[in-house]
Amino acid sequence: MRSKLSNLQLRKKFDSKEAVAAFVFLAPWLIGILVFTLWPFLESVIMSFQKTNLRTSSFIGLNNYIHLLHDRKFIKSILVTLKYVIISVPLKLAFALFIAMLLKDNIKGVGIFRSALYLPSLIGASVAIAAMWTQLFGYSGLINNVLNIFGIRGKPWISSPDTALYVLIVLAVWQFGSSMVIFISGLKNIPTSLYEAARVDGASKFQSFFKITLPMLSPIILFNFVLQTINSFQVFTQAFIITKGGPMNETLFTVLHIYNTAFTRLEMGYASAMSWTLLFIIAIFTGLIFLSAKHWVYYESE
Amino acid sequence: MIFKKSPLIVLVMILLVLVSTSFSVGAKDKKIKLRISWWGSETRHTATLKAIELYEQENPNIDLVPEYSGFDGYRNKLMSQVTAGNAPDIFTTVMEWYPDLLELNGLTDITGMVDVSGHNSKYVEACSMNGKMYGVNLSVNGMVLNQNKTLLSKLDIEPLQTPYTWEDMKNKFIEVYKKSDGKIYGAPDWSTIKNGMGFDIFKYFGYAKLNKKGAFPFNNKELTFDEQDLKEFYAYFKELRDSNAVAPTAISSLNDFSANSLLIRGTVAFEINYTGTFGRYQDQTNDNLNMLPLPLGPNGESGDLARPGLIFSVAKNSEHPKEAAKFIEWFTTSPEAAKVLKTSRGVLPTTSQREALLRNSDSLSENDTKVIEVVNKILERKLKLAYAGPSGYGDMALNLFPEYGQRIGYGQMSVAEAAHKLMQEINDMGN
Repeated sequence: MRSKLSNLQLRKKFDSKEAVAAFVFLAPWLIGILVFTLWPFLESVIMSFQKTNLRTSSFIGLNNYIHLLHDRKFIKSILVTLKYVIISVPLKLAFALFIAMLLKDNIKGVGIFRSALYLPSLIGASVAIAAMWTQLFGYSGLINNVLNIFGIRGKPWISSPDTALYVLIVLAVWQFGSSMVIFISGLKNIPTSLYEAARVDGASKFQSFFKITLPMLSPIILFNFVLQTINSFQVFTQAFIITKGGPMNETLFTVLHIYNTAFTRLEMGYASAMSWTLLFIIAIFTGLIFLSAKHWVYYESE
Repeated sequence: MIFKKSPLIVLVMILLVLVSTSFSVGAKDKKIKLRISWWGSETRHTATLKAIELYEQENPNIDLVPEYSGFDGYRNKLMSQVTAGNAPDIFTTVMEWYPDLLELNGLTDITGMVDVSGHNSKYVEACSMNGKMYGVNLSVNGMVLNQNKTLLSKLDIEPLQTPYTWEDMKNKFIEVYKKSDGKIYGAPDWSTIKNGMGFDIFKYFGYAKLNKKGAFPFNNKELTFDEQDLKEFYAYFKELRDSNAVAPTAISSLNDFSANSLLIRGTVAFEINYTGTFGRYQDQTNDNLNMLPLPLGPNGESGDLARPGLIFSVAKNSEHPKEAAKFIEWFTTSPEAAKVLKTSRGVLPTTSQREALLRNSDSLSENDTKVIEVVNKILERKLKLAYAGPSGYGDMALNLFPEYGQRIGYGQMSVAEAAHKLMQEINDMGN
């Protein structure tokens, strides 16, 4: 009895010591999330009900939100962002899956291929890539020079209202790497016995892709789909550097518009209301995706 | 071996080194620290850093901490710093930012703290608001038409000479397009470029083409332009576009001061900008560039503003406003500063500095001489007083103005419609 009790006490003591250690090691992250995420998060809720430039503020209730409903520019920015998400996310996922299919087998040098194709995603959101894109698609950029060789007269892709957004979409699709890596690991988890059985039964490659690969991969697809949708809604750097939202607001993504409102026009309250509206829209779309998942995602355990 | 045996000893040693170095820094730290920020190109950075070093040598109790960058993002960063009460003691600004800075309570009234007797009084007034001096002008700067003489002579075109009218300018642009078989345009279409230049040209246009007599397009209290003025401006540029005098909107709207500059790339032969940026253009090309004052109206009207090119202001949150003001005075009046700064910010603001620079003229580059010459020509014209404008229109010049220019340029709106809608939107901002 006695020894058991002291054992228990000892363990308790040890536990609390461990807990302290755990918190010490977690502290940088914890402080980070409390100070740089949670606090601004709460602050922005308050500000979204105020007219404020951070120095002076006055409570104006729901006025910011009401104003948003008929703010031509904000609505435009939502539509632009939606268009971007709806076109770029499926394209990106399809492309990632295609490359993942090519790279799932252990062909020679696969490691190099995988790293090379993953690289754009690592450096993708950076300013340098955006600057490079400006040079590629500029009026006298590489693309137009190549077109020139074939006698085609290119156009200023970035500054034409009908192509600017697509230049940014191409950039997004090019950064398929992180989805690809997840897809590869998903593909490797599909039991080969299924494919063997299908082959024995005389299924074609297409059939086994649609009947085995896609259903077995569907949870991974859902995961990538949700992740990419949320990320794409928050697109900022590319437009900020390459197009600055132009021409004629054709690439004015919502986050860029929020940034301009907050830091150029110094309307912090209004900008906060915009970001909460954006969060709400992202939540709706994510919710819709999860609702639809019932119909197309297959879990093995079911 | 010692590393393997006792990592603790190594750790203690490292700690000791760290502690001792921090102590030695602490001992020296009685100096007054002044943070100072500016934007610009490499030339300006180098010159300013040299000047700072010089000042620190003369004033060993001052430690100047430079914070410099390009122009992109500078304003947003500054506004955030001011909002947070953490702005550099001395920062670069332009008069158009005064209303926003004052609303954020970010400027120190330095009236009487800096000797400004050597400055042109119109510039001193432009650096003040409501009778309080909130900054000191760093450069006498004028808008000029840069022309690429090498390119023109290749096309067998006579360069433009002063004096010239709006009509002469347009005809010259058209000549460039025709003689280059449509490969080169006269100039970029400034009415569609998102860098504020379009609105600055609009200011000049008001006096020199629309023959405005009073403050245009605003004084410090209210806007003084109307829909008709906007219409005239946009119509002039539509005319230039339709006759291929300026590059199409899609090409023009990407124009910038550096890598994508149409002038540097040889897409256009002319470009309007401030004299302070001339060196930057010339440094990027082997072609021979020169500057002309802007065109005159039919009766010789000009609209050059006594607009301070760049201003040094003292932050409200500065703990050492006196020392900051003293530095600004040295920066803007001393001959030693003039010798290292040269024309890195355009033409120096005070007579004493300009004279010092000219006395030392062998150190002046060809660019410097060109800039000083053209500014002297502009100063001979009757300068208009420049205004920062009423507050609350921060978005107008930089975004709205070129956006509606683009709508016309891309054929989405007529000139009349764009002028009407823009005026409406501007009026909504004011309410």
